[in-house]
Amino acid sequence: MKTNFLNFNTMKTTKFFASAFLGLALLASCSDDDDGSGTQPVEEEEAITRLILTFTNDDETDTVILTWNDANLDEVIDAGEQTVVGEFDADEVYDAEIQLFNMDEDFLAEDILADQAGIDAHFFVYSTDLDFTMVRADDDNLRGDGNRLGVKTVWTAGPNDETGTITIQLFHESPSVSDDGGFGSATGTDTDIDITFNVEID
Amino acid sequence: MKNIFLILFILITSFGYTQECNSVLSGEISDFHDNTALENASIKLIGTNKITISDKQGKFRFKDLCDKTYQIEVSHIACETKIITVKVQGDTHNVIKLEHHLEELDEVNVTGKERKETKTAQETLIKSDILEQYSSLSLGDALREVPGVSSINTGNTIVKPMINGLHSSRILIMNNGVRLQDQEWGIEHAPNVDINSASQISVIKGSGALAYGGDAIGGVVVINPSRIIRKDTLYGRTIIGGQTNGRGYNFTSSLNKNYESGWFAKVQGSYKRNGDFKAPDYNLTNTGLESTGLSARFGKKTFESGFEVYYSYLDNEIGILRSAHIGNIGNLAASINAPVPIFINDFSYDINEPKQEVTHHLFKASYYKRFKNFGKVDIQYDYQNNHRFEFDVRRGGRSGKAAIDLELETHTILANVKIDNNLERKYNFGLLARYQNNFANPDTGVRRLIPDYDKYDFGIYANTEWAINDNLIADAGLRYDFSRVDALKFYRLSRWEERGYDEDFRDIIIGSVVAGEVVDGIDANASQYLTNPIFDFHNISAAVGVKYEFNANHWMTLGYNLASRAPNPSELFSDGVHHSAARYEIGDLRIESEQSHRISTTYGYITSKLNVQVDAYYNHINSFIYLVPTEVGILPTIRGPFPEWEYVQTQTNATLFGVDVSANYQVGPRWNINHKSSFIKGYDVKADIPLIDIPPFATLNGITYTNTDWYNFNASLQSEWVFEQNEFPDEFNYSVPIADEDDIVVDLGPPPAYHLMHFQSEITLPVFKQSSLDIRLSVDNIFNTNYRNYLNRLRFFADEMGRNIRLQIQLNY
Repeated sequence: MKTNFLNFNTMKTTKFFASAFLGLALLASCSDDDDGSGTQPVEEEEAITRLILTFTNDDETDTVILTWNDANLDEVIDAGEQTVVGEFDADEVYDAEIQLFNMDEDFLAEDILADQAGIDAHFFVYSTDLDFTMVRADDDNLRGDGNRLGVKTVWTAGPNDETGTITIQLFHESPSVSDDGGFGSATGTDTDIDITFNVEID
Repeated sequence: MKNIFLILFILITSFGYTQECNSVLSGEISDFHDNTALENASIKLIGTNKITISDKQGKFRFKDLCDKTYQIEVSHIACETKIITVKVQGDTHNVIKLEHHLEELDEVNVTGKERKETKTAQETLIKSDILEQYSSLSLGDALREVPGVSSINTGNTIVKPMINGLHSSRILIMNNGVRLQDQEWGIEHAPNVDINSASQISVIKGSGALAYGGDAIGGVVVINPSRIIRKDTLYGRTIIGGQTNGRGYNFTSSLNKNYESGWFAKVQGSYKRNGDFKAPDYNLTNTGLESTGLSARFGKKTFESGFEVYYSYLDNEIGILRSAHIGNIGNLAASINAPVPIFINDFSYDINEPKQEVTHHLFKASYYKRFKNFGKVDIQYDYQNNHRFEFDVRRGGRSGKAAIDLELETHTILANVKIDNNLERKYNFGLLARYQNNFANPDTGVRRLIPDYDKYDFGIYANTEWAINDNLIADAGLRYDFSRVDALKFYRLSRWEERGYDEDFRDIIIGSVVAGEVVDGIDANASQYLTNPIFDFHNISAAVGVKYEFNANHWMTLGYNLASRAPNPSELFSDGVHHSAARYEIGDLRIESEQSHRISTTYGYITSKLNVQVDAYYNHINSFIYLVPTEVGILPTIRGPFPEWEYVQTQTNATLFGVDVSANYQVGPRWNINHKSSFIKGYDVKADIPLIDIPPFATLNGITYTNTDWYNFNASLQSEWVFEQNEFPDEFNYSVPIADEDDIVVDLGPPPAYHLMHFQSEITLPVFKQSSLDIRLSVDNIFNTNYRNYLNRLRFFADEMGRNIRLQIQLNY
């Protein structure tokens, strides 16, 4: 008598399990196909690592330089990274110009002033608790909405000796801006720069 | 002479016939999985009039058969009819196996029967008829059908499920048997699942389903496609929908082809788009969405063996509310205090920065085989590719260039052995191996938020299910997981030293960045260190549970789950600005695994009119990992004051406990009332403060009218009442000192309570033979109520969506 058993076939099962575990072992031994990109440092394209606001009086006999230099590149304004060189003279008029750098790259020139779209997307706002008046310079960059950007400004110090602060803000894609009064104002919640320096009029 | 030949021919052929047709075919019919004899099976020789019945020993016998090949049809009550081919040569014996326990083995689809994934866990099913209502929405929206499941949102379209107060890496999502690997650690990373590809979703609270993973401290979401029907059929479904809010429209269609032989194929596609949503009083600018999904599967499924090949693709482009991009903490305070968002533009379908673009590919191949008197073996390989771009409002006209570009590739192979030859005592064993590679593209020009890393996982588990008697079922499981993370991470020196890594992790430094180039080892002039952290995690998880049915109406479960979760890449390595939260987020290399001890109990009462279920739980999490403000507090950055938050582990514990209730009462033949509510509390025990982002008490109550005589018409009115969360860690609020000005007070506390009303109706019209048309009309937030949701991370910037009228037409064919 011939008997056809369709029972559990030990041989087949062993092969089946062996194949499954071989597959698992193969996967577990997958080697790292790293292409080395993980060892490539990112070149930070839009970091602002240095800010310089230079005030020069009409006859170039007095300069005040406000500087922030991000020595450890952490974007934090650490102690010792801010310097103010010079004092403002009372009743003196100063031409001021701001500079921004990303390491050795001129961030202001290449990322903001390079085209009109860049100019239109940004706006500097200044504020101070000192007796200053300020206007935006005639050769300052003009935004598409008729407001001047605020890179070049003209400041006039008051008659009294005093100490206080100057705050620089750079707004990005503000819904509305105004350069009325020189210092400027902007709506919006996106500031690229917001830094305050202690200064003195003497 | 002619007659002599004729007589000879007849004699010869008659002799031959009688010579070959006296064979006997005998056999035994037995059960496939436990080998017991099957009595009263019907055995029919196809093409003859011979038929017989098996005896008590399962034996049968046919006499007077010719030596040739026969086809036998064997059938038995509760078994699948089987046709087999038998070659008879003389006396032949055959052993025939039928499966007598298709239902118990979960191999047939019994209409109306629930296909739960677990026996004793707190599990709730969402079936296809409910999922279809969410065709234009997201997985996270659909899951809120389950009491105790809420969502943590980023706007209206990034909706992450939250189970009993836990989300992201603490929730495991299975899509057609594949664990979703889609950068799920990110609170702003929505699950990459097309809701239209799902036929049923199970939500399992806690980590009871160990086969899926041991780290599901919150729970598991199991998404299953439609079941395979073994008959010759072609059927499909098309849904077209539109909605007023966001002027959204969506389309999805699926087509299934099945054969009685077990072969099957399915293809499904979806497209969804909406423009800017609208709060009651203003447009939510840049909240559009465009989503394209495709899935296809084919294979063969029989009782004894089968295979499936599955592929799914999802591409999402999601706009983030423009007003949510914040420069510094002062801007955040201004946004919180502003009556309306800063950016309100006319309606547009345009999706601008900030936005996300995510594509997710999932491929799976699986095979199973049943062995007689043993059980079932499954093996599976799956591959996933998740590519995430995040576009930010960037300086210098770079907004069109992604600020985050992460590609995550995952290969997984797993094997599972289920021994079910004894239905009273089933065993399940499995193992898993996974390799994952994360690539953070350095060409973004932004320092990597998450580094490149390789991750290796290996898991092994066993569980058993024991039907102690007709009323009592117990199950238990144990799992071990090993994970290795091998990363390449750059640290700025200031961060490295601030975190104290120079003392604890000096040996992982492999290079230094000097003048933009990497040099080997530690260099005195380094601006950054290149490190190679390699961390191993060994985790044990376990589950034990019982379910007792007091009688046909009352039942109860009791369970204990131990779950262990290794820290995710964000918790270990984060180091960057999170703009919509206006904060720096810092990971910590010292973070270890967290362990959850969860005790749960469920009571259920069911009659023909009333259905009540109460889930209670207590979840005690050791070394709980979460994000808190650092001691440094506010950092003075070049962008302005910015808070710094860091991932920490509670030195003692966190606890979460609560109760979820659902009830349904059939008032009369046509009226039904339903109730769902969830109560939860969560605390950091050591700090003695409430946990942040814990859902407030919420209750949903509704009434439904159904009239089957009116083309299955039904209409329901739902009341959603969400209380104010009255426990918030006030320590997380800020007061930012500003020189010569009043301090900026930033109150991150919860918004007020709100109450919403929703309406939904549906009618089913017969259109063709075997085809029907479902028409659904829904109105969300009927009274266009202004409100803010505590669990929406963009609540600081804008109200939630206002009234939304949705119309959906579904053709079933």
